[in-house]
Amino acid sequence: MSNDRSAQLELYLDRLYGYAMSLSRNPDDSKDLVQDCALKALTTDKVPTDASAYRSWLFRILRNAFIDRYRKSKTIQNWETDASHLSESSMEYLGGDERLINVLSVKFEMAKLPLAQREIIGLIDVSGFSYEEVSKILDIPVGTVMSRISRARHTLITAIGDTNVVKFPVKRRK
Amino acid sequence: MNTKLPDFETLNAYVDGELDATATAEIECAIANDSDLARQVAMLNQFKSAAAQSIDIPKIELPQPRTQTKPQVALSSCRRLVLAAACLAGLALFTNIAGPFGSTSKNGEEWLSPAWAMQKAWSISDAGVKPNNAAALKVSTFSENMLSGSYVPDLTMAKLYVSYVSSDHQYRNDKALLIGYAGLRGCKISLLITPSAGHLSPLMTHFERDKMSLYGWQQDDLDYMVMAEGMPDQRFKSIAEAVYKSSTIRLPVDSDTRMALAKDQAQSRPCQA
Repeated sequence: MSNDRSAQLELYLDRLYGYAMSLSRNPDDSKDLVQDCALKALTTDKVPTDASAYRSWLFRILRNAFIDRYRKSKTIQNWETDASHLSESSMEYLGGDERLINVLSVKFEMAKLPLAQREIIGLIDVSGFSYEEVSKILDIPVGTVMSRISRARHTLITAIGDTNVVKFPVKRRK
Repeated sequence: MNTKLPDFETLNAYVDGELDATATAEIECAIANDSDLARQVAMLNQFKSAAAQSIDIPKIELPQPRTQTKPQVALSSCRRLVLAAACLAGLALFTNIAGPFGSTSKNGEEWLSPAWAMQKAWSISDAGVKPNNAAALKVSTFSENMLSGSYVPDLTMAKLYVSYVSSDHQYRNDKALLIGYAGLRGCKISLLITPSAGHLSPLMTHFERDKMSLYGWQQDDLDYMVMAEGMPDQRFKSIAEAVYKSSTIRLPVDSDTRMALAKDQAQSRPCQA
């Protein structure tokens, strides 16, 4: 039983770490969060048997561990109480150039995103979850997942484009 | 004719493989006729790819038990840690005995005959190779509709492209989903997913018959069988392990495995059926 549970958990360790990084942005904190989550998952009495339910359960444990750890911080308070602070940027088509989008530019701009947007990108683009699974983990409707991920990507890709635009100096006429 | 362009949310759902077959076809038709729309999709795909690689994943170990400094007092409160240690020890034993996937080799069993025949039939066909990153996503959505709970991974990192999909096959009087992946140098592998008949275990098991090789396992209520003929053993095993892991956790192949599969492909010889 323990063997099975450990082997099952091992399959998810790197994805849990990816999710933890998207939340905390700190490698050491992320490792600690994964350890907390793993310990809880290994020692709890009732574990979901269905694979999909197990995954959602596991990532929810990590999310709760993050909330417990940072409950006093202002960021967490904002995140828990109000997700509507998500960027209200236009959802029109993107400008810019796909050649500017690379690992470095994404990493750089992702660190500046609000927590809720980092989280949704962490779950869908880093950990590879479907919208339905994310809706279970975050306990929100699938439609909200859909709008949240598109807003997050829009904000981030727009930011990458803006960062890479160099403004030429303009001489003002006297 | 409907010329309305899809909104940005729908485009995101498209690149995430979240749309049904009809909506996907509508978007693809719109993309073919609108270069700006095609550019939006390219940007979103580029972003997804970059985001997936934006976090460096270190080697993560399961929790280590802390040193017990106060045995009498701490004994009861450490029960959970002790249990975790037992889990770790068990995992080490399990890994040493059975390997990470518990793969053992067996000769071809008679009940596998239909599977061998399906692999043979599809691999001698002249199905074309269409290198397309989005193919697996679409097949994934498609397969979910045909065989509830089935998971079809993207193997393009191993230079294997979905080029054959059929749900018309019958396997032991049950419906079966057969996915054919074709490579660029003659390699063809099959992924057969059927309702479980109880022959396979959750651990990956290896079967051989003549030049054909098959890895099979049970996941939830389904049997998964990956088959190849003439593919170098080590490469095929790595691919089967990647499919096994993906089907077990129902997530795409992770970045380390992707790199390893790409390296295997670059170093391996062409397939010889």
